[in-house]
Amino acid sequence: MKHNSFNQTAYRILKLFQWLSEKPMTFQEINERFETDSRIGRRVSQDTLWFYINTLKAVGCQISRPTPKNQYCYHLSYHPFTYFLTYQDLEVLKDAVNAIDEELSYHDFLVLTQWLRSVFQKSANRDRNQLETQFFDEVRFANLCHLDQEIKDIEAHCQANQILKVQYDVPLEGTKTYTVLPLRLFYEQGYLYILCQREDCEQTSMLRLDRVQKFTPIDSPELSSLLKKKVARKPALVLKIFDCSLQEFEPIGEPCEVYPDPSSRQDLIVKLWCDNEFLIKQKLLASGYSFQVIQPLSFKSDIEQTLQEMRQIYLE
Amino acid sequence: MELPVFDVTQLEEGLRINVSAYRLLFIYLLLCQAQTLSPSDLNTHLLNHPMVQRTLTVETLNNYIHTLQVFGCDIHNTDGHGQIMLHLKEHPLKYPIPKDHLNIIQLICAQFFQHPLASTYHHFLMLIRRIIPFNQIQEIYQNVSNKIPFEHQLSTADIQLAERFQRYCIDGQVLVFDYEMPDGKSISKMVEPLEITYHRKRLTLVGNDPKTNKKVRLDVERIHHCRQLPNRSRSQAVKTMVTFKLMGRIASNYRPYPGETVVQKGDSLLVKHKTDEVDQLLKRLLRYGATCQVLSPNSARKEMLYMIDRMLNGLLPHNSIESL
Repeated sequence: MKHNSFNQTAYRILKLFQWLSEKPMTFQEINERFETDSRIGRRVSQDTLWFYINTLKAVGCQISRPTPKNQYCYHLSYHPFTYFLTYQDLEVLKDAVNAIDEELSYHDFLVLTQWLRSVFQKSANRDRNQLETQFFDEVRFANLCHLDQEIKDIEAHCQANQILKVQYDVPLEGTKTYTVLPLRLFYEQGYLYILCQREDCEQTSMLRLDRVQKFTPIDSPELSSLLKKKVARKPALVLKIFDCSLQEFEPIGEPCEVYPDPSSRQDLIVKLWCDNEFLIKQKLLASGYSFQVIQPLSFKSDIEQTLQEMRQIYLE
Repeated sequence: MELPVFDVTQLEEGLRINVSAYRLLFIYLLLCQAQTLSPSDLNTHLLNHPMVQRTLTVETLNNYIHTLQVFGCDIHNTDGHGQIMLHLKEHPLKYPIPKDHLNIIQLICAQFFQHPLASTYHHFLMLIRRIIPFNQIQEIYQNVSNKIPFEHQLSTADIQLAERFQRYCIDGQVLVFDYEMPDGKSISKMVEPLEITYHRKRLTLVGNDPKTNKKVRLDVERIHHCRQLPNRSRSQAVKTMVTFKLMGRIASNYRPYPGETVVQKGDSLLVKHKTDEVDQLLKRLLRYGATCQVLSPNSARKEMLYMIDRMLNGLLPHNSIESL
């Protein structure tokens, strides 16, 4: 294709569009850019600028007028010069996130959610907000975009060992208030949870973040150190896994120490330092291992009771 | 290709615009959404557009394309089966994505790569190509393509073994081998290989047993004297519909897995899950404890009871299960 002269006005409109896509700009700022661009090198009048903006609007861009509220900036809130998400694209994205759902760490979950949201928000689809809501309803994890600030605040409170008073929506029971020391946020089965030490509980608890109605920091260094001691007091959980080699063993989670059982070499001894026995119980049950709990006895009787209840269901 | 969404009715009446720039922007829009277009297709779209309703001469089209190139668009002429095509490879409004977003895309690519979902993987890559700049696509390719995604977790010997079995999966021919059972005894097996995955720190061959039509997972390290038969894989694993009931808190929390149908029954949920790997599903259901009950088929209920008893046997003194 033979190259020839280019369309000056169209070029100026394209450059205006590019600058506005980077950030909102005032009339003055736009003219400074026009003046310094080597291919333009001149200012334009307010009327000409409106002429350019109208052309962009006609092609589908949404540009707001400068007002005192937006510091007299031209703000480009939408443009269609990007990709269009089709039904097939959405199905592929669903397959993609469902494929990695089980692999996600807390950090991965946050990044994946951010990326997916940006994929929708940057698309040219006019119904992108609706598509985004629909998409998150159909995948196996919740869209927690409305909890961005809460996530940041809880992370900061965990770092600072800050005691919180939490109003929590307990399923089937209603709102309850707990005083807790938040330990960490974690992702499990599609949701974000706060692992915390409650004042009224010996065990650590999991609170689902989207069920937390309100949390208020409480200034109580004494309670903070008391609850921290409660967390530190947890004994190691010792298990014997039958018929499993070191090579075959897959960690059940948490830091653990594994070695062959000195009394029977085909079995393993596993020592876990867990901060949540409920999660360990779930993972142990799902592992399918044949195992024995050596200590603590409380965990042994708990898991034994669960298994007996499960067994009873199938004998009825 | 369909026209980009244009809502002409939304335009203010008497809006003064630069018609020439408008046409150029429309071409830019078409290229953004189609990526590759022939000049004749482009002219058809222009002719059908209510605000253009005309075609462009070659000179005018050259002028517009050149303006877009000066603006920063990387537009190439490609040869599409004897026809000149305009291909928009890159443009200034496609911004790079953050590094951690790129890592997530790589994680997805790696996961797809582990499964024989070639069309889905291909479509995902095509989607990504439309979303992120070309240099970032190349970065993903370098890290994922032609590599075994779980490579970082494997030794050199394991990688060689994985590559060998991955080739078997691609060939799609029936495999015959000796399989070493946990008790040390060896049995002869015939499997139609499907994929090679890394599960529980072990390389696992997933395939169909042509005799039972059931999906099997085999530890690659226990496979000896493996050879390919000349016949190609033909059978398909039989899928079983497992129905289970969820009660209590899990019923209010549960987010269905792909393909599951869920019916609310009072405070509980009735879930139907069709799978060719019943064992894997049952292991997941064990995690829900006594708040989950497998209702059908009977074989799955029996298997569930067997797994529960196996765990209780480890926990309780010998023979105590019989006394329960």
